[in-house]
Parts: sequence; structure tokens; C-alpha cells
Amino acid sequence: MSKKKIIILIVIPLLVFYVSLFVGRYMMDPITVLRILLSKIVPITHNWSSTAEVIIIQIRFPRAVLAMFVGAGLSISGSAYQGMFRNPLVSPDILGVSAAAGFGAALAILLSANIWELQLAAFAFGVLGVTLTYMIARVYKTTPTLMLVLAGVVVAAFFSALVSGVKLIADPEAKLPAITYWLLGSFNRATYKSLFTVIPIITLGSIGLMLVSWRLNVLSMGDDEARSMGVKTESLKLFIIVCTTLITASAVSVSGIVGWVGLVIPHVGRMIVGPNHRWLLPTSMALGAVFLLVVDDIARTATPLDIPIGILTGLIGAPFFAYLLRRTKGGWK
Amino acid sequence: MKNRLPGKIKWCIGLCSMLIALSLVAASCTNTTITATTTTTSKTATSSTLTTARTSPTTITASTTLTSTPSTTTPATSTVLTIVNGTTTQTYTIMQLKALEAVTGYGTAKSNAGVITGPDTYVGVRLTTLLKAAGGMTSSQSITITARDGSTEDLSYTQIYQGTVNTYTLTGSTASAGAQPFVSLIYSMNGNVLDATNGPIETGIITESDRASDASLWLKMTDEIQVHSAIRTVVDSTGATITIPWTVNRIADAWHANNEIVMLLGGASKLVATTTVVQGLPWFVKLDPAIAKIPAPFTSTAGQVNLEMLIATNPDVLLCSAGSFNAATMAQFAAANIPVVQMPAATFTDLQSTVNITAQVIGPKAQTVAADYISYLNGNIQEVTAVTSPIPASQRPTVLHTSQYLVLSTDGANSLIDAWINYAGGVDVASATVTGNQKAITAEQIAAWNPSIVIVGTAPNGTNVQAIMNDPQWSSTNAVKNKQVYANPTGVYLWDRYSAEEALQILWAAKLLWPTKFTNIDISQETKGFYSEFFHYQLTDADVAAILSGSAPPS
Repeated sequence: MSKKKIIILIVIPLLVFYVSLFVGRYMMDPITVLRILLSKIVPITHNWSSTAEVIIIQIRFPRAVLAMFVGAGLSISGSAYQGMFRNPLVSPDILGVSAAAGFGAALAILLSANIWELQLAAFAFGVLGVTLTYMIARVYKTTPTLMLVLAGVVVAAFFSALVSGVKLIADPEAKLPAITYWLLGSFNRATYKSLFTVIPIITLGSIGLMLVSWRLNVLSMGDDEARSMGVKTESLKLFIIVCTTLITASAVSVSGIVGWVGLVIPHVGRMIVGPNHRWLLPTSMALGAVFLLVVDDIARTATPLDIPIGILTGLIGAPFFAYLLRRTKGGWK
Repeated sequence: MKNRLPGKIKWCIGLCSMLIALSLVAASCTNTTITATTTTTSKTATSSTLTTARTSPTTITASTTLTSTPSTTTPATSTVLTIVNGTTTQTYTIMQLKALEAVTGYGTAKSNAGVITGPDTYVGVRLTTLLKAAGGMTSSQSITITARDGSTEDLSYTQIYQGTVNTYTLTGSTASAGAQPFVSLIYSMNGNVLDATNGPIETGIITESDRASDASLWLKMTDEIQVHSAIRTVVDSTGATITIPWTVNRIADAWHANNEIVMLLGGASKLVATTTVVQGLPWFVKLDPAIAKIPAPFTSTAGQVNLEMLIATNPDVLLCSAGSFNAATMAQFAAANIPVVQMPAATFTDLQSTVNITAQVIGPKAQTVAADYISYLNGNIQEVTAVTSPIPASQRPTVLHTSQYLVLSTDGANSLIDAWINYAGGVDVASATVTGNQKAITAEQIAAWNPSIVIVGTAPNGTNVQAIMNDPQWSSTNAVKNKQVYANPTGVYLWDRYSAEEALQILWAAKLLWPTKFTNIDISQETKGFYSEFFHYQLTDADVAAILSGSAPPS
């Protein structure tokens, strides 16, 4: 990987982030935006409305940051899982984390919980779901890939059924729309408080995955091959599962279920830097951050309404994935 | 409650009906012959008599005092029974009844709770005998028997002519009556004339053997028998003509808000199937605890129904909002012989037609209540808009209505919420760019709109108001800066959308937006009056405070 590519991967996300702060329903000239941003670092005379300041500092900034971290987190998780499962169709919610977290959130809404209790419930149920999957898949002190996938299907189906059950009895004027909307994903709830709870977890999980990136390369050749090369496959798998689960569960707990990102972005990354996880993981993070940031810009700007992010990622992600499939003719490099 | 329209009209109806009743009595008094008095009147005259009897129960009391003297015996010359069959009206004095072929036998009533009253010996006239004299009836007709106190009883053709009524032994177990049980108009019990609390005429089931019958088939103080079609039609909001039974006793209601309208129109006791959502409304359950115990084949998921549970409730009719059910489900209702009446939901005009259609389904008494309600609703709209309509748009406060519960949402143009904000003299900030109900919006859009008043709908309101006041994302709005964030009242149903309490919402919102212009409105008194008149429930001060803050009943 050339130095040029590394620089591009760092510069582009920052550039897109910067541009995103200028985009929105509330019209402001770029100079004002710049002055508001600078005023947080250096003293500048305030000649803008409090509305403008709230929009930039309290609304656009945390929202953009959250979109980037969620995009980066979901993409690195997807890349790690695709390597670990040696399967290009795997996404971060393969072990049921999204479905379980979705149930946690739906339950919290049903019980009139506040936003913090909701985040905690979503996170806790996400972790619980994956724990269940892992326990079901565990046979003779090993966790065969096939067993993990099947157990994930079981747990996801179980929690999806519970979500449907909650939706059936939720009050249609307030709680049902809240549940439906939450399940489609949105960054509308981004606040600094939510950033401070989620960023550390996503950062820690990502660092953890980066640390084992070369072992992932070995693991992606197969359990037996990895073992013969001295890799403790079971503990490695468990470590990867813990990292991705922490990342995905915390992402889902603040933004709802954002589909397609963790599935499609790793493929794009592989097209750019190849299958070496040492480069694939950071590349996926950068691409995922940019992708969700741009999609969220569309979601909050295209109409006065807040378009659920899951709809847009699906609309963009699915055709793009189809294009990739045609192009690679099903082969996976 | 301000009694706006009905006052004068009630007086007119009262006077007219008194006159008609007096003339009827006078006419029957002059006729002392034993043969039945048959008057064939024009259709309009008949219907006006009926209308009078329905709309003004007080008239019937007046005629009662005229017909029954203070002594227990009724003068032989007074009319004790009227039979209306199409354009034919037939009246009977007690002497005329006694001159007809009599039936003698036992009668015993069994209540729903299983209490047995009787047996007693009764003498009366078979209903079939009276009907034959009044021109008979066909199998596509049924009858309604009305008592002096306004209570009614309905009988089908087969119940009258084939005796298909439940009969029991005197210990209450189901048993055949042996011979056909006769629906009869009774004038003598155990050899005595009936006293004023039962008679002079009582409807009951006379059996030749010692058999009991359902107490619901017995009607004291029988006054009038009306022969009519067994069915009637209602035109619903889709323009479809729906055939329903003449008397609707069992209503299934799939539309959450419409359950309240049924209650408003006095039909709550007819509800046999409701929704899980209604059963979770704290004020609804407080006013009508029975609602929590009936089956709920409908849930919060629109268009879904537990068909077997619904069919098991044996409803006469199913009420729903227009387009609630897809064609396949509608076909299932049709196959189960459940008539479906659909009603509109989008505007204040829709609210009125929903009230009217619901009232037509329930029956004549409900239509009187519906007229009162609609005149109250329109009165409130006129009262408020008379003050607010001259206010230019530039002076109107900007209002954001949100159902903020974890999702930021608002209601734009073409919504009831937009309508009452306008009536109340405000500008709905969302209406220019958002259309429809409960659309999710961004925090940035709210800051850009910068509303001067925020109204937070749907429970739990108090906490949502606090959440908005403390949220830095809302901090730049004038509403938060000036502490103009309010919880929307929630009563039997949400005041802000679809409910009968929209009538109060208009006043509440007007007072909220323009306190100085509406000093005459006391929303607490208004609420108490509304609940007292339409829900027959006396709210305490604590109750009203809870409703106005959108909270559940104080325990």
C-alpha cells in the first residue's frame, strides 16, 4: 500500500466531515459556519444568531461525528467477520447482535424508558444475543463456523419475533412509530452525551481488531491451517467476536439498525487495497465513515423530514452490491 | 358547560310534543266503544310522533301522568298500548285488550345472573293476535317494544311466530317449554291488575308449562309496539350502503379513537370487541371499566384482526376508519356476515361525519347526542375563530406540535392538528413544508423553524416537556427560551387527534395561544361540564388537573 493511498484515506474523511458541517436545511453562509467553529478555539466576536450556533455546535457537529464512528465501526466489524467466517456474505449482525439490540430498544420504548435507558437496553441485549449465539455454537470446546452462523440465525429469528410481538401491543400514536423508526436507523438522536458513551467503545474495539489483523489473515485461510501455524483459533475467534460485538452493539444502541454498510464497504475496501487485513481494516473504516456521512447528509438535507438512514443505505447499498457481484462474477479475491 | 344551541329547540320540541300527546289522549278518550281504534295517518304525521317520542322522553312522562291516575287502577277509557305498523297506528284501552282472545298461563323470568322470579299466573293477549289486527308482519320484519321509561326490547319474526326463545326449568337449567312459548302483552298477574311500576301492560313470555324465560324478554310498563323492517341501511364514508340489523346491540370497534365516540354517544355498553390500545387508555378504563374485560381482536397494528376472536363476539356491526382493512380481510368479514362501516379521519368535517355515522349505527338516541355534540363542537369553533380570524398571520405565534417520544415528529398540512392550531390563532410551523401526521423531522429543521410555542402530544407528556426544556438541541428556540413548552391534555383519548375531545382541544389551544383574548374560557369548568354531559362522569379538581397535564387518573 502506497503512502499516497494512506494519505488519501486520512484526508478524504476529514474533508467530507468538514463539508458536511456546511450542509443542512438551515441556510448559513460558509464564513459564518467557519467563524462559529473557530469561536470554540479562539475568541471571535459573536455576530451570528443563537440558532446558527446551536445548529452547528449542538446538532450538525455531533451528528456528523456519530455518523463517521458508526460507519467506521460497522465497516471494520464487517471486514473482520468476513475474514473470520471466510465468507463474503457476512455482515456484523450475523451473530444476531442487531436483532437482539433491536428487541432491547423496542422493549425500552414499550416501557416508556428514557433515551439513556434505551441505549443501555439495546447495548445489553445486543451483547446478550451474541453470548447466546456463542453458547449455542460451542461444541467440544470449539466453535465451528457453520455452528456460529446457524446459531446466529436462530438467535436473530428469536429476537425478531420478540420485536414483532412488542410492536403488536405498542401504542400506535407514540410508541409504535418510535419503534418502527428506531429499527430503520437514524442519527437524529446524536448528542455529545451519546458520543461520549459510544466513541470510546468503538475506538477500543477497533484498536483490538487492528491488533489481531495479521492473525486474521491466517485465520481466513481456515481453522486447521491457522492452528497448524500456531494460532490459538478459539481464543482468537472469541476475541474478534467480543470486539465486533462491542462495536456493533454500541453503534446500534445510538443509531438504530443501519444495514448494508458492514456488508458492502469491506468489498469496496478489498477492491482498493486487496484482502490483507492489515490494510483492509483501516481502509474499511475510512470508507465506512465517508459513506455514512454522505448518506446522512442526504437523509437530513433532501427533505424537511428525517429520512431513516436504513432506507437510504439499502437503496444505495443493494444496487451497488449487485454491481459488485456482476463485476467479480461471484469470485472473491 | 355553555348550553348554546339546544335551549330554544328543546322548548319547541317539548311544547309540540305535549300538544300532540294531549290530542292523542283526547282522541282516545272520546272513543269508548270496545272495538279497537284504528287511525290511518299520513307518513309524515306518524314519523313526527315517533321523533317526538324519541327526542323528548319528558313528553312520555307527561302523557303518563295524564293516562294513569294516582290510584292503582287505570281508567278503562285511557289508551294503554299503541301499535305502529307502517302508516297504520292502532291504539288500545285496557277494555279493548280484555275483549280480545285471552291467553292464560305461567310466567317466570330468569336474569343473566340466574335469579329466578316467579312462577306467577298471568293473563294477557298474544302478540300475534295484536299483530294480526294491525295488519300482520312478514319474516323480513322485526318489532321494537318501548316502555314508558324509554327502555326497549326487540323481537324477531321467529321469536314471535315460532317461539324460538330460550326456556329453562325453575332451577335454571335449559329445557324445552313443551308447548310454544307465547310472547304476550300481560294485563293481569295472579288475578290482579298490574301495579303502576309494572303496568298497566307488561310484555312477557307466557308458557303453558312451568318454564322460565330470559328476563331480557320481559318489559315492564309497555307503551308502544312498532313493526318495522328487520334491517336498515347506513351509508358509510366510502359511499357504500351497509345493511345492518334494525337494532344494533353488539358493536365491534377496530378504530381506537372511535371507541371514545361510541362511549360519547351512549353506546359503550354495546361494545363487544375493542382494541388492545383502547384497553390500555387509563381514563377510558376509569370511566368504563368494562372495556378492559371484553375481547380485543384488534391491536395497535393497523389492518390486523384476530378473526376467530371477532366472530366469537358475534357483532352486529364492525366500525373502523376508512381503508383500515385490505380487500382480503374485508372479504373475510363479508364471509362471516359482519357488516363493516367505515368512517373518515382526516379533518374536522370528517370528525363530524364520523360522529354522525357512528350515531346512525347505534340508534336514534345516539343521534340526539350526536346533534348536541356537533353543535357544541361547531359552537366552540365559531366562538374561537370569531376572535382569532381577524388576527393577521404576521402576529400569530408560531406553533410546533410534536409527539416527541425518542423520535422527533410533527404534524403538517392536512392534519387535524394543523386545523386546530389555525382555529386557535396560531401558525403551524410545519404546514408549509410537511404534509400529514407524525412525520419524523430533524433537530436542525426544528431549530430553523424556531417555534415560539411547542405543544408536546402523547404520553408520557410531563417527562417529554422536561426533556425538551433541558435539551441543548432545542435551546435556541424561542419556545424553550421563553419556557413556552406545554404538554397536550389527554383524557379518555388524546385531545389532539381524532377524538371527541377535539371540541375541548380547540378551546384549550385558543386559551394557550391567546390568554388575554379568551379570559371567558375556564378550561377546567369546560372539561368538567363536557365529561358530565357526554360521559356522565363527574370529574374532581384533581382529575381535571391530571387530564390537562396529559397524565393518568390520580390514584
